[in-house]
Order: sequence, then structure tokens, then C-alpha cells
Amino acid sequence: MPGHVLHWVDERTGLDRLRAAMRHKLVPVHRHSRWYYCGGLALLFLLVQFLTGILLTVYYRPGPQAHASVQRIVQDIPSGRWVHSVHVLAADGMIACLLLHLASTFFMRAYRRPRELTWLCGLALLAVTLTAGFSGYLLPLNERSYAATQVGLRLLAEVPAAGRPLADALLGGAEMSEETVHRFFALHTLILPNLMILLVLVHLALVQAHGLSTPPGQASPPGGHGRFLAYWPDFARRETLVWVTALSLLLVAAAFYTPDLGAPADPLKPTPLGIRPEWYFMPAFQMLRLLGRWLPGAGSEVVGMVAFGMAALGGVLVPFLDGGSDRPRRARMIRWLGVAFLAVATLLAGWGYLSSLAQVN
Amino acid sequence: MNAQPDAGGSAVTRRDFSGALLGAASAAYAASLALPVCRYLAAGSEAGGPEVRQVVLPKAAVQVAPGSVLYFTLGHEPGLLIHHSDDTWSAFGAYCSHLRCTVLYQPESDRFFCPCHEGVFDPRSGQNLAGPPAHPLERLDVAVNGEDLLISRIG
Ligand code: HEM
Ligand code: FES
Repeated sequence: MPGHVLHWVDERTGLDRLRAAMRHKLVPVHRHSRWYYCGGLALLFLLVQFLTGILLTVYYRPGPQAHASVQRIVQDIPSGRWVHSVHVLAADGMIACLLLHLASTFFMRAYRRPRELTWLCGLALLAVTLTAGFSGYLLPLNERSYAATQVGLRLLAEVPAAGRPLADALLGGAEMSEETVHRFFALHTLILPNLMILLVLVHLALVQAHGLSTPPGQASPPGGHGRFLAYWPDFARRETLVWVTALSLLLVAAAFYTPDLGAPADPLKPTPLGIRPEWYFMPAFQMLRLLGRWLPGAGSEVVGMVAFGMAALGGVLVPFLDGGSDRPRRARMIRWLGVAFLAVATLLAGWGYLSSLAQVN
Repeated sequence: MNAQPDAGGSAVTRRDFSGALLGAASAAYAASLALPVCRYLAAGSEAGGPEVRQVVLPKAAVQVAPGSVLYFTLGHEPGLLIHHSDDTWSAFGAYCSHLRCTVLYQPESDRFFCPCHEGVFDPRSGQNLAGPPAHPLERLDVAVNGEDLLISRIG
């Protein structure tokens, strides 16, 4: 009977082709295979964000009650504290997985022909996800998020050409206000999630179309056996196990972790000492501080903008600069640039935490 | 139809031409939709109203000990009034000229400090002294008018 139903559906949807594709999809097995879980984990966290986000919108109120409404969710609504914590932790988890996913596809050089667009689509997803983190940060309208949004919008306004109008459209007035919270709310809950669904579908379609790449140096010898795993059911089984483990860890961690809601934003108070952004913006933040120290005044602004621009441009150009297998020296140079970038970003982040701590002590 | 097949490929075919025309028309169509959307989104920015140039603070309400500051609103922006330890007063826009965090006064080192990227300003002139800020704080004029303090923008 169910067979009939399946057949009926297949005939009208072509879903059988998708299932056949899953069955034929192969996952390369090699020393670095475990990194293939990162993209999927980011997807898991994204789904968690959708579900908990929808739950939060039930009680969240943008506008003057923004802070009070989050406080109500956390303090008065049954299980509210947990839902809120899951949303906050899964955001961090998603970005952490994305960064690992990016680093692993970078070091495995999975971006090479014909996967350049997969890489670019991934970068777009990263940008959209970081924007989601930035816009979500303002929603509870506390002291920290007020300052962070001022800084973020000012930086955006300095981007040549489109920056200014975009920042104005987000600000929704001469100054930051409740109007801004409304616009960020629309961005965070309507625009960005839909954009993400679209981009994830394109990203996954591209992955499906090209199959997973085998990193250079890990290719199976001609006629070799056992170097691939069928996606269905072998890899899917392991991936399910990874998902269930990650989900359970997240849910339990959220039960024990209460994010600090902070004091409500007050435009008539100075920015609190020890202010710092979310961890994933820490390297950029500390870079601005250091540039200001070493190169006071206008110079630091220009150098900062150029550095941000070069990092973004560098990411976009990676697949096109890697010369492929006949240009091993270029490939090595790109890898070392990647290592250097990672090292500098980590160093800056650590330094940033220390200097924010030093301010309060 | 007197179909005259194109010789070579250099000549512009009717298909190329109508394709370009269609492309241009679509772009114009999209642009004509973008304009009202942009105007719609920008509307909030004008809702700020005219710039507020002056605030009046009743002296009785200004309880600021020497060596401390009072924050007030000037239109939509925060301003700060500082009572120096030698009993003089100055006022400034409180936004850091770098990226708009709100500066604080540190009496122990007698300076304005911006916690965001560690900008430093002089508490009497508003001059940027250290860190990323490239401009001074906006200086405001302080005048006494009977029982009121008048704080106004300069220029
Ligand atoms: C919401 C964000 C993202 C999701 C949900 C996602 C999901 C996935 C999934 C499930 C895969 C297949 C398995 C794997 O390698 O993990 C994949 C592959 C890939 N992703 Fe992403 N990804 C995202 C963002 C990114 C980012 C930020 C980049 C880098 C710029 C990127 C670049 C790639 C590349 C190059 C592949 C092909 C890997 C290969 O063929 O070996 N993706 N993605
Ligand atoms: S905002 Fe004040 S130093 Fe950057």
C-alpha cells in the first residue's frame, strides 16, 4: 500500500529522481573526512534558529518594549529562558560551524574548478549569517547592543557608494531609535531568513551537482576500493548520529546557560567600560582599536576600511587565484595567506578580550 | 517573410536587436519600481524634523558637582555638560567623533574617554587627543540666562 502511495507521489513530483541521486551520491573517505559534517551542522543550527526564532516572535515586541519583552520571555514565560538560550547558543554554534566549514573547504581546496560558485554562494551565506547575528544583537536593546549598532551602522555608512543609503535605510531616522529596532526586526525575521533559505538551496544544489570534491593528495589510486562511502544510507546514518549528538549537547547546554540580558539602552548614559562585540566581530573590533593606537586620527579610518575591503575581496578571489594543479607554488602561497589570516584573527580576538577586560579593572 | 539568412555573424540580427530592447525595457521597468521603494524606505530619515539647536536647562535641575558631568538630549543626540574642578563649565555633543559611541568623563585622568576603540578627548576643548577619532567633539556654547542655562550649537 505505501508503495502505491509513493509511486503516486513520485509520478507527480519526480521525487524519485532526488532519492536516486542521494543513493548515487558518494562521500570521499580520507584523513579529513570528518570536516564534511561542518556544513550539515551549520544547517542543523539554522533549522534550530528558525524554530526558536518563531517561538520568540510570539512574545517579543520591537519598539519601546523591546528590552522589557525579552526580560518577560526570560523571566516569566514558562520555558522562555530555555528557548531564548537555545536561540543565542545556536547562533554562536552556527557561526562556529560556518567558520570551520569555510576553513576546511579552504584548506582542502574544495573551491577549485568547477566549485567556484559553491564557494561564492558560501561566502554570501556567511555574510548573511553575520548580518543576522548583528541585527539580532540589537533586538533586546540593551546598552551593549545600542553601542554595537551605532558603531556597525557608522562603519557601514563609510563604505563607498551603497554604504550610506543602506545605513540610512536601516537607521530609519536621523538618530538611532525604536524605528531602528523595527527595521532590524524586519531584517532579522523576514528578509535574512528568506535570503538564507534561497542561498542554502542554491548551495546544496551546487554541492549535489558537482558531488563532494576529494582533496588533492587524498585521491584514490586508480581502481582503488573503499575510498568512498555511499551518502545513502551509510553517510546519512553517521550524519544523523552527529546531528542528534550536537542537538542534544545544545539543548542541555542551553538549560544551564543564561545569556546576560544587560541593562536597557539609555541614550543618556555613556557607553559602558569593557564594551565588546560578539566574538566573531572581535578581530575587526580590536583591529580598529590598535589602528587608532598606532595611527591616531583619520589615517586609521582609511587603513581600517582598506583592510576590511581586502579581506572581503581576498575571500571572493580565492578560487580564481588558486592556479590549479599546474601552479603548485601559487596554491601554497594561498594556503600560507590563509594560515596567516587565521593566526592574525585569533591573535586579535585574544588581545581584544584582554583589552576589554583591562578597561573594567 | 522574406527570410534573408544572416551572412557571417557580425551583423546585428533582428533577434539581437529585440533582445537588447527587451533587456533595456526590463531594466527600466525594474528601475521604475526601485525608485518608489527607495523613497518609501528613506521616509523615516526625514521624520527626524528640523535640527534642534538649543536646550534650556533650569539651573535648579542641574546638580553637577565639580569634576562631574550631566548628560542631556539635544534633539535626538546626547550632549554632556561638564563642571570643571576650577568651577568653569563646558558642553559638548556626547557622541564620539569616530563611530558614535557615547564618551564618558574620567575625573581621575581628567579626560573624555570612549570605551569602544579607546578614543581620548580633551575635556576643555573637546580636541581629539588619542585613538582613532579624527575630529574633536562637537563644541556647544554654554550661557547663563537668569535662572536657566542655555546650551546651543555653534555655527
Ligand atoms: C548557512 C551556511 C552554509 C550551509 C548550511 C552549508 C552547507 C553545506 C553542506 C551541507 C555541504 C556538503 C557537505 C560539507 O562539505 O559540509 C557544503 C559544501 C560546501 N560548502 Fe557550504 N554551507 C554553508 C556556508 C558555506 C561557506 C561560508 C563556505 C565558504 C565560503 C562554503 C563553501 C562550501 C564548499 C566549497 C563546499 C563543497 C565542499 C566539497 O565539495 O568538498 N559553504 N556546504
Ligand atoms: S567610537 Fe569612539 S573610539 Fe571608536
